[in-house]
Amino acid sequence: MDAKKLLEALGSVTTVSGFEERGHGQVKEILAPYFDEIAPAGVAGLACISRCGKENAPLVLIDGHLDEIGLIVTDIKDDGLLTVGSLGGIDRRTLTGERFIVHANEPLFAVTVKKPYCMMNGNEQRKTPSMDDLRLFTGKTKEELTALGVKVGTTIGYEKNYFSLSDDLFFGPSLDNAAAAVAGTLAVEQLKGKERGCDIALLLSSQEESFGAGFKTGAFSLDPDEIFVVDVDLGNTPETDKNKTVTVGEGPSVALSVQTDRAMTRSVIDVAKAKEIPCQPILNVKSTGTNASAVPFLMGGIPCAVVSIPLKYMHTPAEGISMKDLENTGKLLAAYIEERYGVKEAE
Amino acid sequence: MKKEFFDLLKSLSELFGPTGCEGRVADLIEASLEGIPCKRDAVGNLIVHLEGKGKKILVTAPMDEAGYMITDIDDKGYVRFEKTGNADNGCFAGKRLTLGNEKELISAVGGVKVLHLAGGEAGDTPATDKLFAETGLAAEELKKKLEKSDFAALEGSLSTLPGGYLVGKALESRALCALMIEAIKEMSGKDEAERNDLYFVFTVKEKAGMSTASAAAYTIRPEEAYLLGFAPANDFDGVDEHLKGARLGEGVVLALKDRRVLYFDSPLTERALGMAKEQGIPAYGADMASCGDLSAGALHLVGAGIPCASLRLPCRNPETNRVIVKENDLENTLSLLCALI
Repeated sequence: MDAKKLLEALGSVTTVSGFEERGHGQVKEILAPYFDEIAPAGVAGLACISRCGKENAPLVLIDGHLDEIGLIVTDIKDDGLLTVGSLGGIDRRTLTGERFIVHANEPLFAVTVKKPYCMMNGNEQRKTPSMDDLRLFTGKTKEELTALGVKVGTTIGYEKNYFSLSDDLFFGPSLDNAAAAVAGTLAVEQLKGKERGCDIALLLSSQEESFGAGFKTGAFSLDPDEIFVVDVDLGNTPETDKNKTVTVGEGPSVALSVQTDRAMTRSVIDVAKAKEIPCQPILNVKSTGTNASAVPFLMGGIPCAVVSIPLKYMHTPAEGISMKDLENTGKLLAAYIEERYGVKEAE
Repeated sequence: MKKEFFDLLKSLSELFGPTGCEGRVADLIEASLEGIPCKRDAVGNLIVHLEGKGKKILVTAPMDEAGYMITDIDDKGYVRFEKTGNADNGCFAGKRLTLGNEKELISAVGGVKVLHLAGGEAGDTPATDKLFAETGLAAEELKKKLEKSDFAALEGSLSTLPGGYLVGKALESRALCALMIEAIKEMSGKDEAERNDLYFVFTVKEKAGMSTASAAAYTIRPEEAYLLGFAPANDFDGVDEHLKGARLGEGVVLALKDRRVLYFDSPLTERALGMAKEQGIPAYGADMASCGDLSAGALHLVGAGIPCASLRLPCRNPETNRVIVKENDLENTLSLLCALI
């Protein structure tokens, strides 16, 4: 399995936060070869199930949110330019001169425009443009846009361009959180052909970037026994605090937090050590900033650990990860599941 | 638009040529001139002289794009910068960049402190000393190819949008180069006896405010000069008319004044507007007060003074990786320039 190809394929599907169902068909098609069944779960989520073949087997849930940050049309101006709002925490410092796709009846290329920098006064130059300062320009007139189905509420996503800067470093939009779906799939692939005593559900949940509705409802409908929340973690760069970040290329991060289960988290780290899989424990004392925030309130209480792929430039069109980290995330999930639910050969 | 012109514009737009490193652009322009003689002056300007019996006229267009100079490469391979012109730091993070010098070109991606840790800083345009880039190369390898004082520019490819729009990087200078190449080709076909004595100068370092055109003007001493430049457009629905600047698709802009020059007294500007009217070429005068780093600032004071007119191409998003221009504006600018010279 080519992880890079799978990542690019999944990243390229349009799953703007709150509008994930639009991408369900494509995601199903891409992941069908790796799972026994794929079905809707909870609010706009997809559950990709890998069965162990045993009855009443426990279920390990691997959550990887499906949604990506994007924009939404708030008005079509008389000159055909679109005003937009953000879906999820888009970084406005990256919106100047950016290409997007408007999800009309046919995909429309659009470019952000704003008051030219050289026309701004000093105060304007020092401020990041607000969403109100930006317009999206498609070249079409208002009438043409309306005829193409563009209206208030139409979603807009990044143009999906992926690139490598080395064999290992891979960049592009929406790796948050396509990387998690790939990690989960890699784990299932690693476990193929090995006898185990648990089913695995990769939950591609909705709305992590906005309201979190997908994880809570998806997990409820699957009723898991253990949960891995797989997300991306802040990778350090110049200007970032070492204590608040992890290093891209040094393995998946494992969150140490009151939101997660201490014993499960410990055993994840122990497995990593035993199997010599690099991993980076990171303190997220009160909050992991992931779907795990909902776990303490979930049903009757379920053990949960957070394992993340280090990622630089989060919420920009050039998010960057190490492919080695991604593979090691898959390995670590598989190793934990094998350690805990694997059936040892009789001696 | 003719395919040849689009292809020329595409190649020019996509070339790496930030302020101070314009050699590749000059080389391509020289090749595009298909044998029309040209020479480089001491500062790197590319000059074409078409001899004629008429007036001595200078036409200029800038070759450089907004860029940065490399100020440091750290031990992890992260690169730091200083602006060489008036680049918008709001158009850097999350963008693909090219780092390079006269020999090397290396792909990179621009970065800034991640949003989730930026706090209040996220509302500010990043200061240049907070920006950085990475290439995927280890510091040692990178330092073999690049050093302090080399350059960086945004990367981007030229594309079209419906309605006759072109989108690409550096169009606010390279589109002008393409137009000047077309004008040279057209004028070179004319009989010397019928022609003015024409000097065309493709200039370097314009965005740093260096006005290298004045060096050329000092040597040439033209009787009059036409400077090709860009006119920033803020022509969106809802913006007050007097704040819109240039308007895409409504013709050539004749700058009435800019930050450094008052053109009001120039009979040349009046002549240009009159010529446009006579020939049916859409053109209008506009206050370009916001945008004055044009060669004219120094050029009009060369020697005893040189009468200048500034022909400007309307641009949205000037000096970003996605400059937007309109085809009919390009055509009209070329027509007016050719009519004037």
